[in-house]
Amino acid sequence: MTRYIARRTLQAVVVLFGVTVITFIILQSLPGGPARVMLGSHYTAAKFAALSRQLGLDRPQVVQYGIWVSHLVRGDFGFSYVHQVPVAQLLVPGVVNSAILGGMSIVEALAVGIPIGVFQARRRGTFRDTALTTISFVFYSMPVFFIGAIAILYLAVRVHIFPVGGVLGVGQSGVSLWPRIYHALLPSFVLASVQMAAWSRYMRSSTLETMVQDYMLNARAKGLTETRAVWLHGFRNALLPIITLLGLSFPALIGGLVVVESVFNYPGLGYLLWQGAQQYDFPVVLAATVVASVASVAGNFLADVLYVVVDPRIRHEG
Amino acid sequence: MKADWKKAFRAEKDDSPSDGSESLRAIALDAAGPVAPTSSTRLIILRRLARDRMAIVAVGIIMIIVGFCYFGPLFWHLSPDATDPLSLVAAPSLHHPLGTDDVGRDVLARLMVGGRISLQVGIIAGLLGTVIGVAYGSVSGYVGGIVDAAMMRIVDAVISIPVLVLLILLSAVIRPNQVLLIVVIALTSWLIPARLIRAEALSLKHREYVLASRVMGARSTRTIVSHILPNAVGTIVVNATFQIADAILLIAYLSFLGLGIPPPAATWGGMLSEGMTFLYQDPWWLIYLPGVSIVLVVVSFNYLGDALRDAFDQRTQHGR
Repeated sequence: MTRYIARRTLQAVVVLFGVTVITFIILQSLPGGPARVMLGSHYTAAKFAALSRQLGLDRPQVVQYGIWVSHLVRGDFGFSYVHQVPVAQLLVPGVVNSAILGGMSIVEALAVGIPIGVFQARRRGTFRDTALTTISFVFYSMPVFFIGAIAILYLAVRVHIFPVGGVLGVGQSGVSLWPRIYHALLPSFVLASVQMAAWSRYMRSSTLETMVQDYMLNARAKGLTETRAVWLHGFRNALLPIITLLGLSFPALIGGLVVVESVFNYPGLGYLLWQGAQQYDFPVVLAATVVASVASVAGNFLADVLYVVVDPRIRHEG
Repeated sequence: MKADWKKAFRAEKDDSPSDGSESLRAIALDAAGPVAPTSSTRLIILRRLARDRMAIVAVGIIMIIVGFCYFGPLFWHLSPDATDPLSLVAAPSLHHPLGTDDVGRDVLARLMVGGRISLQVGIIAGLLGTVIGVAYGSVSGYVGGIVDAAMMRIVDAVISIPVLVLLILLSAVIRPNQVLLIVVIALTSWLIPARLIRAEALSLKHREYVLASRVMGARSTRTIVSHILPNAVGTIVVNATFQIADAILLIAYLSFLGLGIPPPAATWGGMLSEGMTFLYQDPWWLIYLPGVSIVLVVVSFNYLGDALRDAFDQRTQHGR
């Protein structure tokens, strides 16, 4: 298992290296170059010259890349053009808010999608199964902002169940957890609705696969009811591939976060990215891109490690 | 690495765990090898497609929407950019059968013109992304070894950047027009076809006919073009269809976020986003019409891809 994790870590590092190289290339191609971009509104000719030297802009590209990465690692993403503060000050609350929203949506999507998938698998080929498959297909093809617009129209505007957007008093310290969750509820439902479609579909086929395994036959043969056989023996095995898919779903989840956060004006990482792109606030956009990519690499990595931890068959293979 | 999340969604075909006889049949079919579509197999595939009712409906919807967008303006003469200051955010009426937006532009006319961007950019970008991915993946898989490893690590890196994030970054650097948008979307969407075709190339390159071609002295390019690709055509066509669906969704996302084709050009995503500014006036026609248009097109392409895969894959022929 150690070997597997070591190999997987190495792979993640290589991918992170690639991600930073790509972002670096884009940074280099920005108007004014990286020093101009990082200084933003703090630009003066003297500071520009100093930072250019500090960033090693007169040195080879490879050295420049190394210096840029060392800034990244220390959390120095430069200054925001628009907000006139270090980008890191914006990123931290953004990441926290996004993590709350994203985490809630994952839990909701799994909590609904997985039971639906098992239900469909057990009633395979019936009308209800086909209907649910069709519904999940439509949800999968729906732009998440369309679902968001409908949700706001009915649940926030016509019936005032949910707040229309934002997080009350964010930025002020001492905002307790409950208002944060309350404001994240409707956006998280919207985000979850799209993922739910995928999870039910995966769970359905994963359960179908386990139902014909020998251990299921054995469970039935020793007299378990079908329900007990499925839930006690089939279910946990059917969940295994879901762990890997959970890791792979991270890039899509982050894309969804960007859209949902902009629909609901929810101040997360995606909202920062969106605002930054509209205002040409490049330090913010680049930093958000790096953080989002690191998050998706990390998610993928954690899922793979979790898989080994959970599944003893792989753990003992070494 | 493993398959992609999205790819997995599409791969979850209703492939029920088969009993013994079926899997024997599958093995028999597999031994015969994949069949490069000659004119007769192409006919068989088309015939299978025609038997799939959902596929017919999907093709029908796509054709209706294409007709609506490209030929609609021949019959509906209001300009998509002409404003009517006397009816702002007006509900559907005789004069404006689908209502007007916030500056009094006719929603019907804008739906038609906006659909063109979704369709032409989406289809071309989807196809271009597939072409890039096929070229990349077939070279990577065919050459193999360290080249393959390096090329695939690049794919791993790019695929870790969420597509939408990468698109937002790129469209902030360049203000897109239609051509740039096609290029940018294609550049972010070649990764999945690259992985799929690489896997195909890896397995196909050890077939006897490929070896024979190499023994006879064919160059790698020729072997790839005339032996690998024709045998991967099913994968390519099915994936291209999904790529188009994804590209249309991405365009909708970008224009909704105000980062696609800049206004006053009409786009479905942009229309919906403008409509959301007036949510308190409850303008259902500004929300549902563009929204439903997007969903119809995307669902149709997704269903078509699903049906195409069934038609190409003999093994799923035992029923859906």
